[in-house]
Amino acid sequence: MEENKVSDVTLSPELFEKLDDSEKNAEKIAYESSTYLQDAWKRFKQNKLALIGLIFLLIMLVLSIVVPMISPYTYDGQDMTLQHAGMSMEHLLGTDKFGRDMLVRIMYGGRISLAVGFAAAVISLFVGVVYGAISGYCGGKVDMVMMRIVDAMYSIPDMLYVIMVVVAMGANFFSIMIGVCLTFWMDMARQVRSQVMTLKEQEFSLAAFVLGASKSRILFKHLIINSMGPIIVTVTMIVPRAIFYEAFLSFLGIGIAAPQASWGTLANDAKGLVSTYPMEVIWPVLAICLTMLSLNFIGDGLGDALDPKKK
Amino acid sequence: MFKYVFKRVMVGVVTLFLLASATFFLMKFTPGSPISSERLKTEEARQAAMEKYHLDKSIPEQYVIYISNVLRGDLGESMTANTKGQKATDLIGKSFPVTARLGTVAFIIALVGGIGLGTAAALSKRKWVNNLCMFVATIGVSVPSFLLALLMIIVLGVWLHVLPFIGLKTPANYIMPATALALYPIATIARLTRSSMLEVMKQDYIILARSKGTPYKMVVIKHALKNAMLPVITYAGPMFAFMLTGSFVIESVFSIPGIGQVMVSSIQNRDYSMIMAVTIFLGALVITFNILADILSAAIDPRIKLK
Repeated sequence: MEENKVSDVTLSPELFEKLDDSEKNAEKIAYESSTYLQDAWKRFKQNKLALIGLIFLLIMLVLSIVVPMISPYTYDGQDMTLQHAGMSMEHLLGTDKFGRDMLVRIMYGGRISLAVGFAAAVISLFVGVVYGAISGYCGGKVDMVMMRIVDAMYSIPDMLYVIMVVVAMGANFFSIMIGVCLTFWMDMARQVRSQVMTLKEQEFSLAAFVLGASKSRILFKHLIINSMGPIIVTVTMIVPRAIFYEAFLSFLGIGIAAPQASWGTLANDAKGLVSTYPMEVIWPVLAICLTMLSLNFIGDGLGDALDPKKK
Repeated sequence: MFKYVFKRVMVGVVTLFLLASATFFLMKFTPGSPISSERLKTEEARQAAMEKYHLDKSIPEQYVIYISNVLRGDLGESMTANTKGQKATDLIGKSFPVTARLGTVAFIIALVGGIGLGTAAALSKRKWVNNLCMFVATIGVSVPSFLLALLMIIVLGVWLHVLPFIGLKTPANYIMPATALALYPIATIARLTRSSMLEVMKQDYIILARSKGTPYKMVVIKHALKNAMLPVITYAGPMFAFMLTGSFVIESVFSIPGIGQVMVSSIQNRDYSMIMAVTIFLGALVITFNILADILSAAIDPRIKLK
C-alpha cells in the first residue's frame, strides 16, 4: 500500500477544530459584485459638484411643487397697496409691480420652466432615438438621406425656426415645447446614430443575429440598451438648454403669457426696472443660472459615471 | 478642392431655399393677414391692398411670386407702424453694420479669451489654474448671455456706475454687450483649445522640436497652438450663428439699434414680412459662414481628405 503512505500520523477527529463561520470566506478576495447602476452611482457620488447639483435640483423641484400649494398667496393675486415691496417676513422675496408675491411667482415659474425643460428632453429622447437608431442601423442610402435632412436643418441657426414656429403657432406652453424640440431631437439622433453604428459591428450584435433575433429586436433590445449611457447624458444636457430657450423666447416677449410666468417671463417683466428695483431681476436670473449650472454639473458627472470604461 | 467647394455651396443653396419655403408656408398658416391690421374703409381700398400684397392669388401662385422676389433680392416691406412701407432690405442694410461692429468686438474677445484660457488650462502645472479655467468654462455655458447682461448692468452700471449701458456711442459702451455676447463662445473655445492642446502636446513633432533645443515658448506658439487651432476654426461657423441670434436679446437689453433689435420689434409687432426677411438674411449669412469655415479648415488641415 505505497500510495497511501502520506504520513505515519493517525488522523483522529480530535486533531481538528471546527472553523468559525466568519472565517469560511477568508480566502475570497473578490469584493461584492455590483451592478452597472451601483457602479455608476458610486462614481457619481465621488463628483462633489455633480452631487451638489443633484441636491440643488431636487430642492428646486420640491420647492416649486410645494411652495405655490402652501403659500397664502397665489401667483396672480394682486395687492396694489404693496407694489415693489422689499424682502420682508410676509413676502420673503418681496413683491412685483402688481404687488404679487415674488417667491410664489418664482416657484410657480419654476414649475413651467422645469416642465418645458423636462418635456422637451423626453420628446427629443423618443424622436431622436428612433430616428437615429433607424438611420444608423439601416445605413447606406437611408442613412444618407436621413442625415442630409438633419445636416440641412443643423446649418440654420435653430433660434430662427424656433421663433418662426412660436410666432406662427402663438405663444403658449405647447408651441414653445414644439419649437424647442424641433432643435434638440437632432442632437439626440446624431448621438444615437453614431452609437448604433459602432455597436452594430460588434460581436454581440452578430451573435444575436445568428441566434435568429429579428432586426427590430436587435435594434431595440441590444443596440439601444447598450447606448443608454450616452443617451442619458445627452438628455441631461438637453434640459438646461431647453430651459435656456424658453427663457430666451420669454425674454423676447413671445413666451408664456401673463398672468402665468416662467423664469424668463419674470426676468423680462423686470428688465425695465434694473435701475430702480434690481432685486426683482436678480431672483429669476439666479433661479435660471443656478438650475442650469446644476444641470450641467449633473450632466458632466453622469457622463463620467455612466462610461463603463472609466471604472 | 473645386468639387468640394461646389458641393458645399450647392447644399447651402438648397438649404436656403428650404428655409425660405418653410418660412413662407409657416407665415401663411399664421392667423391674421398683413392687411387685417390696416383700417381700410372702402371695399376698393381693401381690394387694392389685396392686389398689392398678391393676397387675391392662390397660395401656390403667391409662393412662386415670393420666391422669385427673394431671388431678385426683394425681401418685402415692413408692416410695423413707424417703419411702414420701408423696404426690408433697407432696414436690414441700416441696422446690420451696427450688429456687425458689435459682433466683431465680441468675436475678438471670444477668440483671445477662449484660446488664452484653454491654453493656460492645458499647459499650466498648477492645478488651480486648470480648475479656474474650467470653472469659467462651466459658468459660460450655464449662464444665458442676456441674464449675464442684466447682472452686469445691475452691478457695473447701476450700483457701481463704472460703465455706460445704453447704446453704442463710445468704445466703453462696447465692453458689456460684447462680453455678454462672447461668454458662451469663450467657454466653448476654452474647452476645445484645452483638449486639442493636450492632444497636440503629446505628438512626436513637439518632442522633436523640444529635443532640438527650441525654447518652450516657441514650441507652444509656433508648433502647438497652430495645430491646436483646427477645431476652433471649425467652431467659427456655429459661433457666428450663436452671436447673431444672441444679439437679438443683447441688443434689446442694451438698446442697440442693430438687426437683433429689428427682429425683436418685428416679432413684438407681429410684422411677418420683416420676420421672414430677417430670417432669410440671417440664414443666408450663417450658411455662407459655415461654408467658409469648412473650406478654411479643409484648406489648412492636410489631413482632411476632400471627397
